[in-house]
Amino acid sequence: MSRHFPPAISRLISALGKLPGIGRKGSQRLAYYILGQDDEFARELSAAISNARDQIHLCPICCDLTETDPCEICSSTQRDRTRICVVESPRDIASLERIQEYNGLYHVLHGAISPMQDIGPEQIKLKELLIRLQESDQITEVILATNPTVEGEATALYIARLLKGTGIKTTRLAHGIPMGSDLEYADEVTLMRAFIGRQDI
Amino acid sequence: MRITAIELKNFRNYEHLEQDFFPGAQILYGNNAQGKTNILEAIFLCTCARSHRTGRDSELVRQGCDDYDVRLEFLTDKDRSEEIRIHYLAPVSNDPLRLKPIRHIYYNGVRLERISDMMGIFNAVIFAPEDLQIIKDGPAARRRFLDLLLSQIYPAYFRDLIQYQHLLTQRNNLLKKLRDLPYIADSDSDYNLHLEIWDEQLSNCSARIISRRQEVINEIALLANESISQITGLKEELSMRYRSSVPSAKDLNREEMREILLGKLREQAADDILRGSTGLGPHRDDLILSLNGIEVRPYASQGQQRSVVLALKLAELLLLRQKTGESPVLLLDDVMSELDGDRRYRLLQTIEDHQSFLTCTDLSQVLIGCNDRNLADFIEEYTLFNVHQAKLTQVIL
Ligand SMILES: [Zn+2]
Repeated sequence: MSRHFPPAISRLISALGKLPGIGRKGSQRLAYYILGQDDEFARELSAAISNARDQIHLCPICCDLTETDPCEICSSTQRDRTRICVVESPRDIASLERIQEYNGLYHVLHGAISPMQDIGPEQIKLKELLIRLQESDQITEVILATNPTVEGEATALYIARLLKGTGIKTTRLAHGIPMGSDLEYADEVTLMRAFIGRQDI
Repeated sequence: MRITAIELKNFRNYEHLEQDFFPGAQILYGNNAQGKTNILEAIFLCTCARSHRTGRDSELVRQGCDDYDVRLEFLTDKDRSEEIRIHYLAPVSNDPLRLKPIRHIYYNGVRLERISDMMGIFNAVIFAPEDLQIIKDGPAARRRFLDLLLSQIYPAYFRDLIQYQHLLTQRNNLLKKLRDLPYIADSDSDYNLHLEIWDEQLSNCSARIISRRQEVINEIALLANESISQITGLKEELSMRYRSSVPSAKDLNREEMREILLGKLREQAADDILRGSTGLGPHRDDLILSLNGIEVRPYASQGQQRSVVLALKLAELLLLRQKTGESPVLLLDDVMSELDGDRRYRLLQTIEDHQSFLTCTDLSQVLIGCNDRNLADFIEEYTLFNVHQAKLTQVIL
C-alpha cells in the first residue's frame, strides 16, 4: 500500500498533512492540485502565507491576531468596556462575533493549561490578562469562554479562583447540547451543564 | 441480536473470508491453530474495538500485510439489519502519512468519530480461557470486566472513563513537575491551585464512575448468585463487593462521594507529589468476589475458579439483555473441554435463547458427554463448521 513519492512531493504532502483537518488523502490531493496549477499559483500561495505571517502580530492589549495596533475591537469606542470575554484562540473570537450577541472586549489566551503538554499558567497569555485587569478599573465581569474540554475547564477554574475576592464577577459559558444532536447521546457532563445553565423561555 | 454474516480481510490467519451464520449455536471445530478463536476474536472486536487477547492491533494483522478489515452484519431483536466495520491500517515506516496507526470504525457505512460512539451498538459476551484472569490477575482485570460491561450498557460511562484517564494523566504529569521542580511549589504560593483545578474535575468524574460501578455490582451480584448454583448444581453463595477509595461508598450519593474524594485528594497531595502519581480513585478500586463467605483467590481450586467466572459471564449476559433489551451474542472459546459433563449440560441449557459461537477441537465435547444426551436435546438449532487452515466448511451430520 505504501507509495513512493519523489522527495520534494513527499515533503509537500507531509507539510500539508500537518494542517488541522487535513488527512492522509486530503494532503495528497492538495499537493497534486497545487503542482497541477501554473507557476503563478504556487508563487502567490506561498507569498500570501509568508505575507500574512509578516504582517499579522498580537494585539498588545487583548493578544488577538491583528494588523493594526491595537486591534480593531480594542480601539473601538462602540464596545462595552466593562466586560472581557476570555477565549483560547483567535478563531473563537470570530465565532462569537458572528452571533452578534456580545459587544464587550476579548482576551485570547493562546492555549489552555495542560501539564502533559508542558503548558502551565505561565505558558499562556494569562499574565497579560491579570495585568490588564489590574490596570483598568472599568472591568466588572470576566466571561470564561474557554473550550468545553478538561483543559479548558481547568483553565477557567484557575482564572475564576485567581479573581475570587477581587470584586470582578466571573461567569462561564453554559455549554449546551449541540443543535441537531439527541439528548440521548449527550454525555453526562454536557447534559448536566446544559441543565444547570437552563434559561427561561 | 444475531450475526448473519462476517467478512474478514487480512485478519490473523484469514486472507479473505466471507461467511454466513445462522440462529442458534454455531459450533466451530477443528485442530488447534486453524483459526477458530480468530473468528471469535473478530466478533468480539466489533463490540469495543479491543481484542480479548491482546491490546496491540498490529498483532491482529495477517503476516506480511499492513491493514486488516473486519465487517460484521447482524440482525437486532427488533429485526433491524445493521453493520459494524473496523478497518485498521498499521504504521508504515517509509510513508510519511502513515507513521501512526489509523483505525476507522463504520456503523452502517457511516464513519464514527470516536470509539465511544461504537459502544452499545453490537453486544457480545465472551468466555475464553483468558477470562480466568478476572480471578488470577490483579484488580485491573476485574475493573476491566466491570468497565466493559458498563460501557456496553451506558455509552456515556465509557466517555467518563476516557475523560477520567485523561484527567489522571494531566494530574500525574503535574505531580511529577511539582516533585522534580520544587521551586514551582516553593516560589508559587498558589501551588495548590495548580492541583485544585484538576482535583475538582477528577473528583466529579470519579464519583460518576464509582456510583455506576456500585450500581452494576448490586445488580450483577444477584444474577451471578443465581447462576452459580445452576452451574455447580450445589447450593452456593456468590457475593460481590466493591472495594473503593471512598470508605462506605455504597451509602453515599454522588455529591457526598465527590466531596469526600476531593477532600482525600487534597489530604494525600503531598504523598502523591512524592510518588508522582495519584494514589486513590476508581483506577485503584477492586471488585471482591466471595464464594460461601470466603474470598475467591488465585489459589482457589481450578474448578471453583471456572465456575465463578462462568457465573459472572452468564450474569453479564443476562444483565446486558435486561438493560439493553437485546440478547447479546455469546462467544465460548474452548470452554466445553474445561467443563465436566454436568456443567456442560447446564451451560448449554442457559444459553439456548442466544446466538452462540462455540469452539472445540473435538465434536464429542459438545455432541455427547452431556449425561448421554445429544446437543439437539438442549439447543433446537445449531450449525456445525469445520475450521481448517483458515477455511470454514459447513458440515451436516
Ligand atoms: Zn486587541
